[in-house]
Amino acid sequence: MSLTGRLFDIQRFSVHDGPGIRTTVFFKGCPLRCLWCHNPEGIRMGDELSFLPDKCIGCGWCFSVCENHAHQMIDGQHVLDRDKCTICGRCAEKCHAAALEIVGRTATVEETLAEVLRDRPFYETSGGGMTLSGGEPLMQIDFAVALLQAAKGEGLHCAVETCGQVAWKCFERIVPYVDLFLFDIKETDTVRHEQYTGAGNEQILDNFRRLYDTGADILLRLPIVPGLNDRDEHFRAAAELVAQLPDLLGVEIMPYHRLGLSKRQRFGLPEDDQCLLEVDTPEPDTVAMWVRKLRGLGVNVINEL
Amino acid sequence: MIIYTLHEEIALIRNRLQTSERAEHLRQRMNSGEHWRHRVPRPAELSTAQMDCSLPERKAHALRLMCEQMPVAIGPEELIVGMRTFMPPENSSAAVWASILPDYYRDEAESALYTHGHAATHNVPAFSNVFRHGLGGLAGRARARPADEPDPAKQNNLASFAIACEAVGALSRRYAQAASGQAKDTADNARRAELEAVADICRHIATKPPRHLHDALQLHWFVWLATILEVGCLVTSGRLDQLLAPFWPADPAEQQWAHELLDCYVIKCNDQTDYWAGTSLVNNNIMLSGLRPDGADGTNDVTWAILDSMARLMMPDPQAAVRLHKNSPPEFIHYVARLLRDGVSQISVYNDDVFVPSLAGAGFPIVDARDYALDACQDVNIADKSEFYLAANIPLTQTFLKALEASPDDVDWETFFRSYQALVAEEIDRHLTDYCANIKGKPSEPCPFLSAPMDDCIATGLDVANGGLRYRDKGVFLAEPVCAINSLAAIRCVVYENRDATLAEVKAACKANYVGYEHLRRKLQAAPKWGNDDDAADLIGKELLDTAAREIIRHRIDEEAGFLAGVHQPHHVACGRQLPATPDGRRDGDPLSVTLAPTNGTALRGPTAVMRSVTKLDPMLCQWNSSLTMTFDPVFLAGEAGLEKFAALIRAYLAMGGPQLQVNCISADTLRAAQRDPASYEDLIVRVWGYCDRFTSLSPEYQKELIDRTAHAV
Repeated sequence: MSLTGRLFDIQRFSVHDGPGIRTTVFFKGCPLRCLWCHNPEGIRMGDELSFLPDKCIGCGWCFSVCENHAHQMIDGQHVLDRDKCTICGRCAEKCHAAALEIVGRTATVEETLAEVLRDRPFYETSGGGMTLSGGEPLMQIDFAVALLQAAKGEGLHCAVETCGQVAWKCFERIVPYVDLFLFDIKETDTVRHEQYTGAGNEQILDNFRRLYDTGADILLRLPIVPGLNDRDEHFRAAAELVAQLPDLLGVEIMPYHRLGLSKRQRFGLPEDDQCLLEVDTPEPDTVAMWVRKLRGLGVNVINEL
Repeated sequence: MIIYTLHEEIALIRNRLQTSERAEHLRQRMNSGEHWRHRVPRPAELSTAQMDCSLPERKAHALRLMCEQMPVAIGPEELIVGMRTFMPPENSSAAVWASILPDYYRDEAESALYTHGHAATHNVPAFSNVFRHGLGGLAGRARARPADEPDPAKQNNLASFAIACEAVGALSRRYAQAASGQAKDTADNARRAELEAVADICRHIATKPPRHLHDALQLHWFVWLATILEVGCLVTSGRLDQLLAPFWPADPAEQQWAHELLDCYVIKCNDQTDYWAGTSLVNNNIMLSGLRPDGADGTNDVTWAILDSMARLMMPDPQAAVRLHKNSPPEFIHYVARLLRDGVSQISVYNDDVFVPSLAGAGFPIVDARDYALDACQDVNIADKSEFYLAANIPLTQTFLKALEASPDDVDWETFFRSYQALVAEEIDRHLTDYCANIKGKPSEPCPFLSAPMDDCIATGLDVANGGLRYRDKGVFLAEPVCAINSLAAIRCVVYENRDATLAEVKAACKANYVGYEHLRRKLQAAPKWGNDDDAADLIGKELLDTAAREIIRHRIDEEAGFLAGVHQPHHVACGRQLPATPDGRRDGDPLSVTLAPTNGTALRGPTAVMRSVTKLDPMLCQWNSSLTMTFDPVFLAGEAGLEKFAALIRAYLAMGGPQLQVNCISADTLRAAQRDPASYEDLIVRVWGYCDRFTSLSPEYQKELIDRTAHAV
């Protein structure tokens, strides 16, 4: 039986996930629970049910097939009771209005690679390729290795986005097949790191240094969220870390954006941290200020201003 | 990354080369319509109908009357002169696209002997021959010919060619006089010298070939203007960079002046933009770069200079169609990508590696195939030798609706599809047979000034519309393609594969405009759609379009001339208004898409998938006409890194055999802001289909369609 993986999207014409024009394969499952996650549908391994009530056309199909009576009409509005929902997917099967959709699928290496290979002409002219992202692609290490091996067999440039919170052995296994790591460090202060992501940063920092020592090409990514980690101490600590790693390709600031919030609603995921509801997408000037600050500390920040 | 507002981007473009103060003034005056005050209605009593000579001669004399009597006016600081000042006569019902030549038909009976409407088709004047011989030279050759020409009809044509060329010479001389006169009244020494130079130029080019760039630009403009007077609209400029290259100064000291002249020319191209605003009458589409007849790349200093002028001045006209091929200079491709990314949607891209082989495959000598130029909005031509527009347009969706209506409810998929294809073949056969019969039956009305410079009209004594062109091949286009493809794909999926509805239900739903059938409409909408790199739709499209194209090519006009295959859907909002609901989920009256662009809102897999769909079609069957219109949100392409990717996207598309590309790189928010505050968005020019317009000049329904397009941008 062919090796399979759990994915939630394969996105073509990705322009922010590595060099050139790329196709990004989004893996399900993540060991972290970042407050600002903008792909919350990728956190869990299982399927998610996307519900967009504005698209509902009232055809009644979902009501008629749901054995758990999770779909209800309340005051003329279609309401989904997630507590009753088992994400069996029957309602979504025939929702042609795209109000209900199952997100998450099981795919073989061959199927996934075939999709990625469709855009080969664009990789060739742009120096692009395939990026693994998610969720955390290294949580499905066997599938990730097999997919990367197959992609390298086709001559594709391969990039991997990772949060670093996996066993070192996973990195060891994929390093031979990865041309570029996009490595996230969310917080240099481990107490805050746990507050914001659900885990401390020790393993992540350790993996980061060990990965660097293999000689792999790494771009360090710093998600910066106003009010949480846009602190001077975090910038300084990041700069100190980077100063010890002269062969790092560079550092990219990932400014917070609010896309995750509406997705949480859409997928019925807990919106448990109220303070993020008040955080706005930072203005270009603010981002420019962060970039300048970090550059002022001697960091090679690659963001274009 | 800092994302610039549209205005900041335009300011960046403007700072690339310095725009002179003069050009800035001319630009402002043109935009504010200072030249409109010179316009007058053409006197209704002007007529050549009673002249005692042949019809072609009477028509040429009609042009002469226009040239002799149309008010001449030279605006302040102008270096390129010439305004269209005759407007429709009072109480005339002439449409804005119509020629307003004085009457030249003796009476209704004579008029009925000719097919009209040639004047409203797409035309590329034979500029190269005007440059080679001069207007006087052409007139002289035409007058010399009757000596050996026994056929009286041909003698009449030849006389008309001479009269027409002399008429335009007369217009030029009147401008020379006006310039001289203004010079005498000008206190400013510098301006006086300029006007005297303009006078000298207009005197010279009234009969002789151009000596330098200023002559060439002025002559090009007068030829364009006079052709508009003769045919009414839709006159393009040919391979302008190739035409002007011999005149571009090699000495860098002279180049600043050359850029300024070019700016004046580009601004002057907007002389009638207001008159045609919102009507889609493509104005002065210039073809740039591409292979030369000898196979080398034709990018030259003028190519760059014209694009630079256009980008700095950001006026709706002219448009530029840039020809690219696998050996185009990489920095040039990059520059074109930058301009497109920065919002210069006046530019479109043509793929020589599609059109040259397919034209050669159609039988044209390679040197001519390499010399193709833009005909009007999207279609190409071989300048000086041909006029491909238009034998017929085959409405694929209307034909599909007929096939749907005629099919029994229990028909199987294969039979259904084949009967539709058979109906398409019948349509093609009927149209092309009619075309052949029509051209044998009635002559087209003559076009003396258009004909005179063509390669073969003087030699043959025949008019351009009646056999005078070296190549009499005619283009056919397959219209309404995407709606038909999507309708077929939807029916196959919903009726035959999923068995979610019967054919009878789909027919009923369309007839009812989906009222009471919303669930079925959604199913049909959710079915595979063109533009998603989904073979379920794309291979239907390929089978439909490639087979129909081959059917077109199978027909011939005669031994020497054949039909050329292409795809086109202009006026997509207006045409959509006339079409009832279709099985792809589209409601009665909703817009169609532009040619091969996916229907708004149905391209869900990004731009690479759209390009993959389009390039599944056989490029050898794209012989004269095709386009892919795409919309990009500038956020995705911001910065130098974004530009690299955009350029790479274009290069990959060309490498895959994409025939043509035109883009809008703009967000829906910007368009909505322009709706709310038009005065601040005068510079906002959008690609509608084969032409561009100020967004604020478009009708509300076209504005809405453009916003819909951008709201679904990738």
